[in-house]
This record gives sequence, C-alpha cells and structure tokens, in this order.
Amino acid sequence: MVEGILAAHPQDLRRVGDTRSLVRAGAPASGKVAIVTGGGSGHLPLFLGYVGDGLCDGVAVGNVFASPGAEEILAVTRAVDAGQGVLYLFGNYSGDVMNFDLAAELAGDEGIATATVLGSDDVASAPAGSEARRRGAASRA
Amino acid sequence: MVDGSGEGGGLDEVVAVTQRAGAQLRTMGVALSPCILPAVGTAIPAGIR
Repeated sequence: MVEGILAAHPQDLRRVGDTRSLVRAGAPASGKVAIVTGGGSGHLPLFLGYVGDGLCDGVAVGNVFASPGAEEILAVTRAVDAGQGVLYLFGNYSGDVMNFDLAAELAGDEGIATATVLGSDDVASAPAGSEARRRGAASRA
Repeated sequence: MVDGSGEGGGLDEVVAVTQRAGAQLRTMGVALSPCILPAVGTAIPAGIR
C-alpha cells in the first residue's frame, strides 16, 4: 500500500519495521516534540501526506476504513520519540481514539510521554454547541 | 516554530498551540462520487445508500 510513496520519496520517508507505517527520514529528530498522526485508509492512505520536515514525524496507516492498531501506533511512537514527548494529532473517530489511547498507555509504560489533540473541524457532523463531537477532516494540515 | 533545530516548545506548549489552532478551524466536505470499497470494486448501489 505504501511502496509507491516510499519509492517516490526515499530521501524523505522511511518505513517502520515491516508495518505500513512511515516516519520522516532521520527520525527521531533530536531536541523536539514529535508529532504522530494516523487513521484508516478509506480515502487513500491519506495521512501519510502529512509526514515530513516541518510537518508530522510519523504516521500509523490503518487498513481500508479501519484504524491502525495500537501496536502500529506504538511502533511509530518509539521510532520518532527523541525524549521530548510525542503529540498524537488525529481525527475524532472512535476506532482511532481507542487505539491511540491504548498506544499512549503502552508508551507511558515505556517511559514515553504522550499527549493527544483531536481534530474535530467537520461542521457537518455535529451542530454548534457540540463542537467536541465533530469528526476531523482537514484540520491536521 | 518547531523545526528540528532544538528551539521548539515542550510537549505542553505544542499541545496548547495545536488546540488553539484546532479550535479556530472549520471544514465542510462534499463527495463528488459515491464510495467504492476496493474489495467490492463498484459503487454501493443507490438503493442501499
């Protein structure tokens, strides 16, 4: 699923082990908080486009319409953590929330600090007054 | 600016900046064609949509 983008951008991206997940070349970037995103692949493996210098440090790529597993998210977390902590930035979807939360617990057990910010920008998914229930669409950009 | 030069903020600061940015964002999406599951290969029939 990700062979093409790896072939096109070998100087920018690196695969994490034998997973679908990617991190920026040179990860972990020293001296900074790392940012990890992720999600399912219903609209291409879309979120890997947010990975690179000045953007996210890593992405956990899920299957079609499915969240990446906690183990994949944890693998990305390990690959990008430079000791400054890791921000999980992803859209407000129940499967992603469940698996990123689980990965955060596992990372904490390994001494990696994480924090989560959910993208919830999609106005069509919940009315004003219920902004926190909205799903995330483009806000990770 | 977090640019890998070692001058970025700490985790709490990065969270605060991200939350501030996210709170000011609104998006609206429009689908121009129906969803196609790769395993199925064709659009979901109109009667089911």
